[in-house]
Amino acid sequence: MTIKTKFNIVLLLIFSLALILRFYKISEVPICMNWDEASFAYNAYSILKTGKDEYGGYLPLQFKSVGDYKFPFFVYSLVPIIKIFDLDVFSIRFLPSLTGSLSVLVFYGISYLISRSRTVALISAFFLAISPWHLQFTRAGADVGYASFFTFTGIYLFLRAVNNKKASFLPSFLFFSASIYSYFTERIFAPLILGALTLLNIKVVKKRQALFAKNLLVFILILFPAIYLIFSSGHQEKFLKTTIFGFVRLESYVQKLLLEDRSGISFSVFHSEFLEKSLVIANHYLNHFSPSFLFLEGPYRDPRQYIYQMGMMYIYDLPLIVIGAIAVFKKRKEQNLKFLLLWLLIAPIPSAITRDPVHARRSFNMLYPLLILSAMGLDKLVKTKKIVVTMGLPIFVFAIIFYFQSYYIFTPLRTYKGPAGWQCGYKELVETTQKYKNKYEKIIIDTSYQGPYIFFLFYEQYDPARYQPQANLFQESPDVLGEGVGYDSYVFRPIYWPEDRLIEKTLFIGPPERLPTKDISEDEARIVDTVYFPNGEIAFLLVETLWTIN
Amino acid sequence: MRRLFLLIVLLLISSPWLITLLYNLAFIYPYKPKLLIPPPQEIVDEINTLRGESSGASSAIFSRLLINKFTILTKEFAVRYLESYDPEYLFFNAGVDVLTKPQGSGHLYLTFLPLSLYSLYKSKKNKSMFYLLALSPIPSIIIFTHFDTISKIPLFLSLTILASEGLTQLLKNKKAIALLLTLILIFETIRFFHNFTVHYPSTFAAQIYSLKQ
Repeated sequence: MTIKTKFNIVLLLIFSLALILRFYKISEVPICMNWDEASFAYNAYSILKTGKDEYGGYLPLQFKSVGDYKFPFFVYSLVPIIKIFDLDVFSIRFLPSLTGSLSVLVFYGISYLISRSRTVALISAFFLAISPWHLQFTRAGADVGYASFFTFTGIYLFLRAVNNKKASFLPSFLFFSASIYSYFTERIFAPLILGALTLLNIKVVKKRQALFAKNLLVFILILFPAIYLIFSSGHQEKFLKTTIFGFVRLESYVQKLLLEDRSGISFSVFHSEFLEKSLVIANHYLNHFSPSFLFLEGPYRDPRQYIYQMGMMYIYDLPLIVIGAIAVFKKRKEQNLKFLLLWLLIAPIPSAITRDPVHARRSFNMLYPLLILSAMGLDKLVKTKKIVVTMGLPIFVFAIIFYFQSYYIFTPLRTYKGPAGWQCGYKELVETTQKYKNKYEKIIIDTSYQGPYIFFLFYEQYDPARYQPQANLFQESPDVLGEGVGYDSYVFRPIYWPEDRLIEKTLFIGPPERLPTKDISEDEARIVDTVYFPNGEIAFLLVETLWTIN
Repeated sequence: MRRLFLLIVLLLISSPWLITLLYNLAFIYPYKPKLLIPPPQEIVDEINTLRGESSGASSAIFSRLLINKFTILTKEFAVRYLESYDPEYLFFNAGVDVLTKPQGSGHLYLTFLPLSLYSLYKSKKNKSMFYLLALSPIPSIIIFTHFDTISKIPLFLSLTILASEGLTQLLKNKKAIALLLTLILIFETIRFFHNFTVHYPSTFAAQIYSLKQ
């Protein structure tokens, strides 16, 4: 058996491991389906049934959803999956898990082309297979994992084309196109990384400039609708809503500064919007290299992104990355390694310009260069200080065991609730509501946990052709996400019980905060049913009002 | 050497962390932080909670092996050590403690970052700078409060020394970049002093008042 065959067998085993880790209990962990997943799935279902999105737009290039204007490629990719597996949590999570598993194979290729070492490539592939960051966004129905697969396959194919005189750049450009049509941050990252690839390999590109130009032209033509959409109101709204550029400082804050400064010049020099936003962007950028984010706590403010008591990577990755980075920095004049460092520096940019201080989803492309550095670090350590590797083995084993405990046990118990979490309770709520649906002319459902309308559409598998004429999105302001107003007897809005309890013979559905039991008096309302969270806490109350106003 | 020493002193006396600390010294003294050893009740509660959750899905012995005082405390030490290097804390937004948090900036100027990195790059043969940087956050690992400023003073001093060394090296090797960074540093210093003298008194008073409430 040749060495290459042995490596391939090991790679196949790593791929199998990746498959198992991404499909094991895929419908149960993450604990529930969130509204992004429900929206992707229902819009794909709507396309499948009617060729239109939930608002009746025929084969749209962007999906309005809750005002976040989702990108189309992931939705259209889901259509055949839903056709095969039906409208189900498994359907929405199938594609990211599959492409996440396949990523291991492509990543092996990229890592080999960059490091020129099969050992490093194999270690990288293994690290990706067990990566907390990668598992987090390839197990749940996140468009980011799906988009990222196309981005770095594009990178791989570009590097292959550079190294192979007869290869075309077109496959690379096609994959980059797919990623740009899949997720917001790829529209910033993909052009930047493509630019970096082109500049670093400019000699090769110049030698084959005719072919490159032809392929680039096809790329631009494919992207033309996306470029056109950049100027659409939906895309601009999304851009301003998400990024720091759309952020407007509070008037009270500005006035306080002006009052205290007593000088317009002083205010302009020290507190200008440009200066403050630049500092914010610099802050956000550097946060992505923070040990807290990478190795200790992750983006702990966002329950859907983080893993309890863990960073996005294992703690043992820290020394390995440092060793790998030092080794790469010493050889930084090598083209492939220069690219690796550039990849790492470019990757946080799409996240840095958004309003969140740090974001694991938007900076997802950082993971790959970090893992290659980590693999290089381990390779160097094994060659030079085997004893250290042996001593570090218990830490390695402990870290991995703890991660799986946290991912399957600790984290679900802490992230099941609310719009920032995994929004549990809706599936049971919809099932419970079916018992009462036909008894009331109006059912008012509270929106404080966000997105109830899409869960009702999803779990009822409501006919899109009937929903489309009723579809109506309410947004309090362009700066926030919206809510579906309602359909049939359902009305989705905030409940204000002091006033709402006077509405006759209506079923109200909401969390205990909106329907406090102490304010539900026997002569005006009664609790007809209760829905619970997985831990037994009350999620929703179903309360009918008894008033009849003559 | 003399120039380096003067630069260190200059950067030190103009550092946001030092000025803010001296301004609030009367409120900070005496400094009696809560320690991680012996493990406070919060840590013990966390261990018991995690063990309970873990035991539900696996054996009690396995849970005890995974979740115990040693593993949790080791993790807590690591958190406090590594959070010292948090860029937001160091250069942008120095935590929540009103008595030690400089107005509108981190504990150190942002310019210290490239200067320190350059110093480390130039010191690759002389490992003392690396050891200085690696060992200086150690006093903070036993403090219960996250981002405790006083215990991180050795780190601030180390970074100030590194930044001074970096600037000295830059002035020798890359004068244009040194000049640019110096101008930015001067702007940052003026901006900090503007915030400290104009805005900090009202912010400080408001936050002390709300603490008292």
